[in-house]
Amino acid sequence: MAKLELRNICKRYEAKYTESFSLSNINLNVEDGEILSILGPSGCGKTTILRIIAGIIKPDTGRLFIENIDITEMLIENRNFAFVAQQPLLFPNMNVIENVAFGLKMKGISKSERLNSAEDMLANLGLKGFEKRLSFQLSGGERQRVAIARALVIKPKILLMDEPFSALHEELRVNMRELLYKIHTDNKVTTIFVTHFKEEANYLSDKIVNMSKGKIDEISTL
Amino acid sequence: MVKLTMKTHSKVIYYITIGVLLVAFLLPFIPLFINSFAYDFRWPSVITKNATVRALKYVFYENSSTYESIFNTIIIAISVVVIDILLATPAAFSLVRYEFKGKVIIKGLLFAPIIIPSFTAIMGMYVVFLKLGLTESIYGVILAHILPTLPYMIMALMVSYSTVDTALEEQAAVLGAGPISRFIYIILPHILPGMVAGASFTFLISISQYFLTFLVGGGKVSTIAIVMFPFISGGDNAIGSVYGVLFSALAIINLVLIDFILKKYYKKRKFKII
Repeated sequence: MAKLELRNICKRYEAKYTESFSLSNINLNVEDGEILSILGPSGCGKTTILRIIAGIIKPDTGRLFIENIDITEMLIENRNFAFVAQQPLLFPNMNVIENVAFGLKMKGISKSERLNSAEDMLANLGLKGFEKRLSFQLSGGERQRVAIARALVIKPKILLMDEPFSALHEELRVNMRELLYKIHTDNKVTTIFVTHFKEEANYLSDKIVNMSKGKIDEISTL
Repeated sequence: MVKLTMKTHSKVIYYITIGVLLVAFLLPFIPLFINSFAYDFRWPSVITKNATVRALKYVFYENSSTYESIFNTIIIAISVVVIDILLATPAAFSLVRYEFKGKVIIKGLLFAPIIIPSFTAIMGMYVVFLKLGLTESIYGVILAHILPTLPYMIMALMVSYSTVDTALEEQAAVLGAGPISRFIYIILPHILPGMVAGASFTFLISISQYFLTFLVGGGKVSTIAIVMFPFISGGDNAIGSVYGVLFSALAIINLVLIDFILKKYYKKRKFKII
């Protein structure tokens, strides 16, 4: 849990054969324990913002702060964030428990401790008994729940979610949305949630950011 | 009934294909095997009239350099495989992932030994080898073998690297994995089959080197190719054939062993082989 601040973030992509894209002057405050949703059409820069916050891409200008500490130049692996993408991105060479415990392993936590934490997290997400399964033995919804478990188990400062339920069918999407709301009520992890479903944003968020063409149009508090 | 006939039909085709492949594979070994036991076996005879174990006895009992040459062949090939992996892993990674000035030239230089005979380069390097005292030594031979084998290892690894999903690496990085951990836990399991394929190529090319071994080893470093050559080039066909079988056995053991290791690895990791 932490407070996140984006100050004058700009990013420009030059494209040879398609239209160039730029993210201009993004200023954003995400309060501690808040869920902020970013809404907007495809290609408006929602994912770019998320990737800049995660540290996957560097902004051209602007700074990023966590609890007033500048993290713009901080290495991706040192940020202690978690990222759940549209695809679950489970590591194919690891089973469910190994996937969930991976982040803890990288933090140097002992095997027994990390396996216990991973088991508890899986149980919280209704995946008890799935520990030894491999990615291809799971349904789409189960895979996404494993991805969420893997993200939450490391107790991230910020949870970044990039349209995590858009690949799922509607009924499952509603279930997952409710599950995420419950998890957030329990953990209070500061979350930035990218979606293009308005009802999803309304249901989950404390704050909604509307974007178009690389710019923030409106920020509304619910 | 129709289904049953079709099933039998495809089974027959399957067995015929396997049979043809087996014959094609085994055919060159049959004369080699017959030759190993032959005595005074000359054209136009199809089968030898007198069988003898003379050649076997010579190769395995009388010629003391046989075991030394087997040992050297294996040591050289394994060393070349290890060095090639160490060199090709970062080289292939850079060639696949980064765009840099002179990339085409570097790529061309790395792959040049496939097109240009490696002994042309070794002729030039021979002077340096002499100065460094690497001639007539196993170390020099190992270094020389890197030249014709490295392109195959790089090629195999480049194909593997190009199929790694970078989103998985990003995911691992966000979860706290640094570059080394990302390589060990995410990239390596994915490129391992390519690495193994490159290793078997490297092994086979290394054990087949005669000229490079002879030139750099100066006859002091004996490998199976070196020991075998005088016999197959007119010395004694029977002894040459025994060495030929030995040489083939080494190559086949290498392939079977690699296949076994790969299967065991996949079984242990329970990967889905697509």
